[in-house]
Amino acid sequence: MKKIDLHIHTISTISDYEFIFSIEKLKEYVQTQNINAIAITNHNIFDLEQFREIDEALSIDVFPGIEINLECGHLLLISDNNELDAFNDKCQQVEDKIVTAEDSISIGEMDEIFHDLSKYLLIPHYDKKPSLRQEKLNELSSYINAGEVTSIKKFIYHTKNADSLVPVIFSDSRLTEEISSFPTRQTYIDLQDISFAGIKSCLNDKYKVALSEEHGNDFFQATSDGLLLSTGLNIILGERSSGKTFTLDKISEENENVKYIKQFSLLQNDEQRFNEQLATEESRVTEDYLKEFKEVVDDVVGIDLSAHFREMDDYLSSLLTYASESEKADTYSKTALFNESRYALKDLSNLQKLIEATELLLENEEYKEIINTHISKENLKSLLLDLIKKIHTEQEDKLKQQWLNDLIDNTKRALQTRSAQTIIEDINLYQIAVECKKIEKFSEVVELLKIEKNIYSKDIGKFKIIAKTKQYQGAQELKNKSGRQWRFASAFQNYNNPYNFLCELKNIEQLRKTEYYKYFMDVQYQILNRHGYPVSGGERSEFNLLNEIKDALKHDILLIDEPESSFDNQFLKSEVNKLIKELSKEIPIVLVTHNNTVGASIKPDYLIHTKREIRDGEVNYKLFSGYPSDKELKSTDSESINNYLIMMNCLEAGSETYEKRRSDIYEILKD
Amino acid sequence: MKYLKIEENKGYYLSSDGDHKEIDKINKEGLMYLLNQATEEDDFEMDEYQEENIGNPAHKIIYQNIYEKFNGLLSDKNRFKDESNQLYRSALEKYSEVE
Repeated sequence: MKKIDLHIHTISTISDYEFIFSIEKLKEYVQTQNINAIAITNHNIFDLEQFREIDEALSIDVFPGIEINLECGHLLLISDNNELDAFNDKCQQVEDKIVTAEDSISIGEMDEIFHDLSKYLLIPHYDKKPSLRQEKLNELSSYINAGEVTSIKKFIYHTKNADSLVPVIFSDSRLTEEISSFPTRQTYIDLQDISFAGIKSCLNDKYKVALSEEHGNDFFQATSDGLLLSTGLNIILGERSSGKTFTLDKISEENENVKYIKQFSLLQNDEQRFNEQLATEESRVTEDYLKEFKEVVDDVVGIDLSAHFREMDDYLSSLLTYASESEKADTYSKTALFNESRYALKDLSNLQKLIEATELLLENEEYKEIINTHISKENLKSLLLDLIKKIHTEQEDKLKQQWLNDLIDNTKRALQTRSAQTIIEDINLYQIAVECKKIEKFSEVVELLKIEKNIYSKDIGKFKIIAKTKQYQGAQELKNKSGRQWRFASAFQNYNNPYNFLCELKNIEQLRKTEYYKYFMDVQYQILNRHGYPVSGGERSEFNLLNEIKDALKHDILLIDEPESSFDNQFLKSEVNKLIKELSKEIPIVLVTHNNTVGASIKPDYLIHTKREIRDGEVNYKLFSGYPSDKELKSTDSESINNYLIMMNCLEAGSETYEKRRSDIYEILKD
Repeated sequence: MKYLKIEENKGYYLSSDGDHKEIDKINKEGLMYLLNQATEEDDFEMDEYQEENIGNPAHKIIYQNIYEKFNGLLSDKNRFKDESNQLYRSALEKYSEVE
């Protein structure tokens, strides 16, 4: 088996972040990770001089390549290393065509540049972003056999899926001086000696690619120091402070898209915090439910009813005064325009909506038969035409009225400055009537909203999440909602009068206008157990676990540190073990435990034992691994340790204690 | 129902207590009542303003002004009804739904 990495970046281009490539680090990477062949694949560029330098510095095979922006996806094009100058010229043409990170070339252009594509190894981003679209893969199908993926999980999936390309996993690395650990993403190929043709032939065959040297796809390298893990369920055992969490942290750091459930993180004793957390997670439900209400509030918030009362007052008092002063009438005030009202301009949005609705009826293809059974297309057309004519006339009138309003204003101003008589203030009764109506409807909406009801429910395992609406019971609840120390006492006194309540909210200066809608009623979330009752502390932890596990499937590897810290043994045995075991068929899992219910009953695929060693004053964490049925677990330097003893020490507090417990307690109880 | 009427050379308005009162006694509450009735009631009627029918010069001015305002509003009543029916319709429909 040979270990290859055909995706390595050595030049920082416009498509990369800034980095300074270190040839020394590349040498170290190749040596420590036992890599047999690499390819240099920079974004849309090939640097012949640098390639020669790398090739000379390394004792393994180095192939020239380029990562091309092709039809909005990425593709690795790798060449044999016997025509470097010609390859360099071709890559120069790619470089000339791709000037910005968003540019790409077409398949036709690539074909034109490289001529015979069958000479090269073409590896597209497959289950990796930005991937090449299926129709583009189809176009290139005679040249492509392997596709690059990003994770072990995806590698295994595509290996099993008959329709998938041969999966390959590469580091896609940028090796710099600062790098602290080397990537573990490489592919093993079943090849005796490295050659371009040999690699090409292996990448045509799913049986010739693997994640590990000896165990096919059942194992993968999890850390740069050589820790091999099962692609199923791994258990890490070890005494306190022996490096279990340290190992998990390392796996987490050196792998991508990891789901890490830390110790105690599932524990949930605080009901209020739990409900708040739930409300945050489900906030989309609240937002969806209150969307229409928010629009209403945003509209009503602009209405100032007291200002309208003042306008009415001003209008009436000026009218009454004007009437009582008729003897003061002069040349100016006797003119008709002296107290002329402005035109109230029409809102044409209803007419506009009618036009849109008619257009919808006219253009709808899906239901045109039903529509045309009742209204002929001709009638719809003439309706649309009439409505459009109408809106044109209305718009014309509106423009005229606007123009006249300006004229009236100017003339009135000129007349009024010269007259001693009181001016009758103008008033727009239509607008006031509409706004009063808005407040009335707004109150109706609030009343409906305040009727408490369930608005959402979702089943997760044996639990049910429900969201229900609830009226606020006091100023304190409003304050809690705001999460601040603002005063809501005066607002709450008006809670039953929606418009006054809104006005009071407006008086709380710090409160954001866009948030007012949240204070009319609350949406509360609750988890119910299978009996329909609110969950207990233990059940909340179980719910968290189910939720986390559901989320784990979106990731590529799952790490769990001591699940026993959050659950009792009964639940561990009946639920947690089953769930974890099931999940390990989908993604690799690494679980740290001290608990015999987990450790001994879960039947893991692989065991890792951690041991702390102090050498030359430095703490080292040594790892031993093997199958659960192995008598001995082995370290990478071939040291062995007895598996039975480990189980006894780590899970049963030693064999003596175990035997004593068994004979003195359990046997007696049993008898 | 007559909300604005002319009798014995004087202008009157209908107040919320059901009595017709002289038009120069109208205040903003009276005006708001007329406004609500004009938009809600179908039989909102007014005596047309005719200068010669009112003797009191103050009544003349007040009646004419208010009459014209309400006349303008009534001519837009259909638009108002349409607009009212559309107001917050999606919110009202959504929150009327039972679970």
